[in-house]
Amino acid sequence: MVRVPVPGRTPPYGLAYVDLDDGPRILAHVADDVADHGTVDGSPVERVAPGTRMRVSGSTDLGDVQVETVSGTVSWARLAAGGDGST
Amino acid sequence: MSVAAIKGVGTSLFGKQPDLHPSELVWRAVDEAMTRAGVTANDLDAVYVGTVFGAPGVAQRALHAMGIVGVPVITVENACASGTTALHEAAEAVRLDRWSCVLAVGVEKMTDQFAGAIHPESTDIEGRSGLALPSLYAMAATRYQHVFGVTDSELAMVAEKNHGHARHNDRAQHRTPHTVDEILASRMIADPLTLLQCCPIADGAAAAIIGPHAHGASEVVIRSSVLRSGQLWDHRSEHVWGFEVIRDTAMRAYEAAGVGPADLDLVECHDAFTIGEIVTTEALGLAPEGDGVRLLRERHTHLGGPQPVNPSGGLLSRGHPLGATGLAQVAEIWWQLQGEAGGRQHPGARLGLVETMGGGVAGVDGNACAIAVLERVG
Repeated sequence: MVRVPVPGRTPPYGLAYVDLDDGPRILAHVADDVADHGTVDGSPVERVAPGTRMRVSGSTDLGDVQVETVSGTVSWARLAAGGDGST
Repeated sequence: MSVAAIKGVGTSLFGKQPDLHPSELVWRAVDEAMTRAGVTANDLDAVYVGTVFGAPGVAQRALHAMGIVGVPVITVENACASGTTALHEAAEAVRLDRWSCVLAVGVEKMTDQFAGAIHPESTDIEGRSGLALPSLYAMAATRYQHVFGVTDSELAMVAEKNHGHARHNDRAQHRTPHTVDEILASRMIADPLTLLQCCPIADGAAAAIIGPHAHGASEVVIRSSVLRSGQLWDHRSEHVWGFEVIRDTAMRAYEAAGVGPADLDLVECHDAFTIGEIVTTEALGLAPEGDGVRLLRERHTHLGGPQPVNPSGGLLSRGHPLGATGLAQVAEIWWQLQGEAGGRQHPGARLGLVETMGGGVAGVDGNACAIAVLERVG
């Protein structure tokens, strides 16, 4: 969750590396409703756990790949085998 | 071929210095380094300059006023590792007998260009997507915590240690110790990294004079210096970003120096963010993978421990003027090996290592990594 000003961006916004089922690891924006359940400062924030199963949901207004969670998680061992589209 | 030695070092102060021109930062660092080395402008054969955001001609603009003219001035850019890259090239030029007296200098004036995090590079596909460096390291921290069960408090222990070390470094930007609770309570930058777990941008310069080792003399020699760019980042890798390029560079540096991690007395490494030091100490072989926090819990890497890491206070406390950082790390190890580090001196230090990680480029596991092994001989 990026909480500092970045030119052209409005914080906070969530980023994740996602391993696609077929191989490449991509940087994606995490849909807001998944990435930030808390307030910006001071309160606990729910983070998307590594290993969370994701799917590409489209793109942001700025053309970034966007992902959202789907039910279930995958293990690190399965991640290491490159088998799932996961953070 | 010759054995390269570092004859003298110097640095400016680090921090927000709005009243100083970049040339003034260079003058302070270079004058100190030349004085310590006992050389004059006429002795220099060449200059290597590390800078990232410096204006064209930043070095020549400063050096001509010191009488350093009529020699090759070669400017290198390697993101955060630019200063260490300048050292590496200077050391290689001496080792290969190209030149016998070389100045390596790094300089950066950042606080008038950035108010916070360095802007992501818009020509990089990940930078264009808003990947500021704090978020790159934050993702590494999140992954590392998940895999190895490390808590936010344990991450913050790096900052507690390094801010504590900086109490004894009057050139550092921040010299106030902080507790883990204070570090965790500071403003969140990129989860889980809070403000006090992120290095501040800074203005500063650092310099070193490199020449052939005079056999029999007591001086700091460069046992090895290795510079590598990252590999294509294999999506099947289990390691967090940056681990592999540091590990691979370290293996070559140890091999070339004929030493191993257990032989080191102390280390200055790239702690731009707290997770960086933990991953780096593992990649350097100071701890097994996933065990880097143990070094902190057992105070192994604290001053007073057997292998202090970032006795200067590191980037977290000294500040991070990109082009100057690598040579500031070199200066710290040089002072330590010479027994001149004052209140932060590690007693009996003879062998030290400098590691600098050079930023991120989409598709590779690190833009660059530079590692030098330094030894006091004689």
